[in-house]
Amino acid sequence: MTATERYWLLAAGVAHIALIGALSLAWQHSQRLMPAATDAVPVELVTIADAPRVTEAPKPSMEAAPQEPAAAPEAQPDTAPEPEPVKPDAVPPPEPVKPKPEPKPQAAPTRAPPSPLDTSSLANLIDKALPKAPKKMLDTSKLAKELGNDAPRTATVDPRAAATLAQAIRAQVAPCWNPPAGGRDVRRMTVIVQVQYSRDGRVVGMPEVGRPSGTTTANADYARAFAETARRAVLRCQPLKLPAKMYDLWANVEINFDPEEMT
Amino acid sequence: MARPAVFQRPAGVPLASACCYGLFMRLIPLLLAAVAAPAFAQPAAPAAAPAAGPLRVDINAGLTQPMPIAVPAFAPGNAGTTEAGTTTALGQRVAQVIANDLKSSGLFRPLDPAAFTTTVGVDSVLAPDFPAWRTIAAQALVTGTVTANPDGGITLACYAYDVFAGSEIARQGFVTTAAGWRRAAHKCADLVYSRLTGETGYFDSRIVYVSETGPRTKRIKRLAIMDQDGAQHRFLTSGQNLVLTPRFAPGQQTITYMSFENNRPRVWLYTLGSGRQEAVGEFQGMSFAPRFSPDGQNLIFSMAVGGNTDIWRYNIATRQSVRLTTGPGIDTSPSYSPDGSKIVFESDRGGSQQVYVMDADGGNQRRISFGEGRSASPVWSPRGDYIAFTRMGGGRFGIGVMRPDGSGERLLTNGYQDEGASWSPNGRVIMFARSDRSGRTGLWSVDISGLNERRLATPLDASDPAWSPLLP
Amino acid sequence: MNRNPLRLALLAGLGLAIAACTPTTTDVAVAPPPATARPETPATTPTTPVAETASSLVPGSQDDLRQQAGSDTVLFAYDSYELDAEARGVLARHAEWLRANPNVRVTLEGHCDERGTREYNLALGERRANSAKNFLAGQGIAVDRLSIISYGKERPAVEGSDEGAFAQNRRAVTIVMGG
Repeated sequence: MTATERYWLLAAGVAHIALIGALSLAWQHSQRLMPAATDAVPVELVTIADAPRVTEAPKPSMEAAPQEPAAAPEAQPDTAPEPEPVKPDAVPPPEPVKPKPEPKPQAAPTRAPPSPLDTSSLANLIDKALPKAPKKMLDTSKLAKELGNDAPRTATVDPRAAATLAQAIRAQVAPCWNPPAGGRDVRRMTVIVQVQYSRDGRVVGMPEVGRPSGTTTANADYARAFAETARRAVLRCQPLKLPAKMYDLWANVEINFDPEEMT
Repeated sequence: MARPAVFQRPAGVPLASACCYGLFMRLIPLLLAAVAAPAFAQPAAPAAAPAAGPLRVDINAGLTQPMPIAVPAFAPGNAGTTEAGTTTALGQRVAQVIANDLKSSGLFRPLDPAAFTTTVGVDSVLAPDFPAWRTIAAQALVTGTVTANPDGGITLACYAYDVFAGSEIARQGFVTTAAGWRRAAHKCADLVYSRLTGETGYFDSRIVYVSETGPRTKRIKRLAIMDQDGAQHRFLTSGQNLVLTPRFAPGQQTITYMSFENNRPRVWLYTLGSGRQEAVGEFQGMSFAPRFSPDGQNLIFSMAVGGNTDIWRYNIATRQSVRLTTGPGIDTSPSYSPDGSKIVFESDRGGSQQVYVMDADGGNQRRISFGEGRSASPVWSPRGDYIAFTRMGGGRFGIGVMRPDGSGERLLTNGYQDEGASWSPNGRVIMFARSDRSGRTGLWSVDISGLNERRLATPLDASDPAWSPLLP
Repeated sequence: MNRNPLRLALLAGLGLAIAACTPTTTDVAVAPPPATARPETPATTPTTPVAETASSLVPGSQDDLRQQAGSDTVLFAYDSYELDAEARGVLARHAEWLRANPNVRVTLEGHCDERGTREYNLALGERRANSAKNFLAGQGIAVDRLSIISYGKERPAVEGSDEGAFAQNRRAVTIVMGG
């Protein structure tokens, strides 16, 4: 190896050390002085321009579906009024309860003498069909009492038939109910949704969502989200498959959503 | 009569239920016919009245599953280009960040964009095609626009819709620099999360933690910070000094941690932005296990002197310190209740590590954990309803939660070593470090329900995570 | 001779490429060793006296302590900071060595195995270091020659997650700090 070669090798070595050193220094420098990048970039909240509200009817599939011709005229005098145009801020359920469009359908011959059918076994079947669905039996005695009070003596609705109907609705709606999990107050909250169904089992207008029980100022946001899950369940799980001949019984349904049996 | 498939079988019904559900749907007509038949078999009574009130139905349980949600690419509000890319490109990345945030919570299931049958353009942002979104069973829709501003920044407009109700449920605009697009996306995700769950969001937040590398006998540890989703990772210290247990100040511009700098293990403060590091106080013994008070004015930490470890409170402005515990045992890992009135800590005064609570002035000390094994490293939830802790037993560590009175104890995780719990800003998720027998360690999170355990990727090994409060 | 500048350029380019392609390894490589690092000799290695080594040891050094006392480390039971008879024997020899080297100061390091939470182990390591310090003080060593530090579970002596490793990691080590 000549002196010149040694010189070049030495120079190469020095250059490498310098290079690596410079890189190391640069790296260390960047570690030491963490630049202002660790400050969060500011984000300013602004209101975005008020634009045309969504006015689309919320249930096109229903409009597309043929209505049962016989049902429309007399049974649903009030179907026409669209649910008020959905405004973003009107979504929260705690709305004043507007007078219900009472269909007041003509009395159907629903008088039912004691049925030989064992509805409790039917209920069992229903419960087995939907393992996640409530285990609690409907309080048929209460329902029967109410029915009894409201109806003229001469007319009675078989409470067991009503109970089975209620269970059928429950079994069809519960699978669509996805209450928000893990909320602080979920166990203390229930909400009632008033639904009007057309004869083909579709929801008419917007279901009316009541004010969830257990609502406080602290959990108002949660209560709103909770109530909306109930409304969503009703809207998603339609049309209901229920006997048209008993339509008068289920034209208006009051569904109480209560996650008491959820873990 | 063609009905959308979604009504035939509700979306998201698990397969097992779905099969039973389908069976049931077929059975319903039979069942109801059977019920109805006897009623009509009888001679109709004259003037029978219907039930005056609506039929009452009680639903006592639903399904717990992630909500299907659609997050299509945000529409470009104009044809601008920013430092962070074109508005079109940003619109896609914003949607990905939002979808990823929502998915990580375990409460939402962002739908595969490949299944979308429609897109949202700038003119349809305010009037989305709800039927199209319904057909893919999206229950909610998140969309909006990204617009390049003349100053080089961007405006992100964020809209959330309830697809089945066909209504807008939330909207918010965010103006930021081009570099701030991720924060704007996280804020949009927070808006959606809070609107649909009723709880505050936590996506616009950061994690500070200890990055680890090298053999166990001479591990190099560095403070590092990143966004809650792992993005924008940066190291804060060089690795020259051993550093441990970083925790955010409530204003999240300051971090308190422990450093072995100059072979003097003690509590330090690190100011983000300036990178300034400052030792806390001149104490006789080793100070460690620091945490801020909820008002940010005090630190609480342990000090070990002569084989005895007690808890002290230190006022950052006046530099005055007050001793809160005096017993001969090891009192450490203190954590304030969110209202600042109480402190939870661990002590071995009863023979082994257990969780205790005391008033903020040190009074009224009482044990609250009575489960099996040892209970250590308690951390009070920011929403106040739970205390997370590390349970040791059978050679394993798991993360658990209990009520502040010690009741309702539940174990959420079980690993060789799961420790170092830290709460998300909304008290809904716990992040912790999980180590295996080979010494590898990484960050994991778990929902307070015990579900949705998932790993957060880090460039190197990782431990001691600390979740920031929500960014301002 | 003409090819030498080319070689330099190639080498420099290669160096650059390596530096550029392996940033993470570079990071780790250039990160200075922790300031707390000390001679990484397995603490519990018993020194087998060899005639030559004895004479080559610097009096008052860490190796000298290890040689004269048999070990610079005492071990503890799980979650304990009590010195057993063996530990007291080792520390008694440390005291003897300190008396023979009156200008030497030492730091007692307390360490734990990994089966404890991080913060508790810092406190437990302090207890172990303090136990050793108190014993030496009781042997008449001036307290101002003795300082302590706890590493908790941060600096195990050996890798591994079995009882054998745990036993070696639960320790107090006498570290010579110089005169």
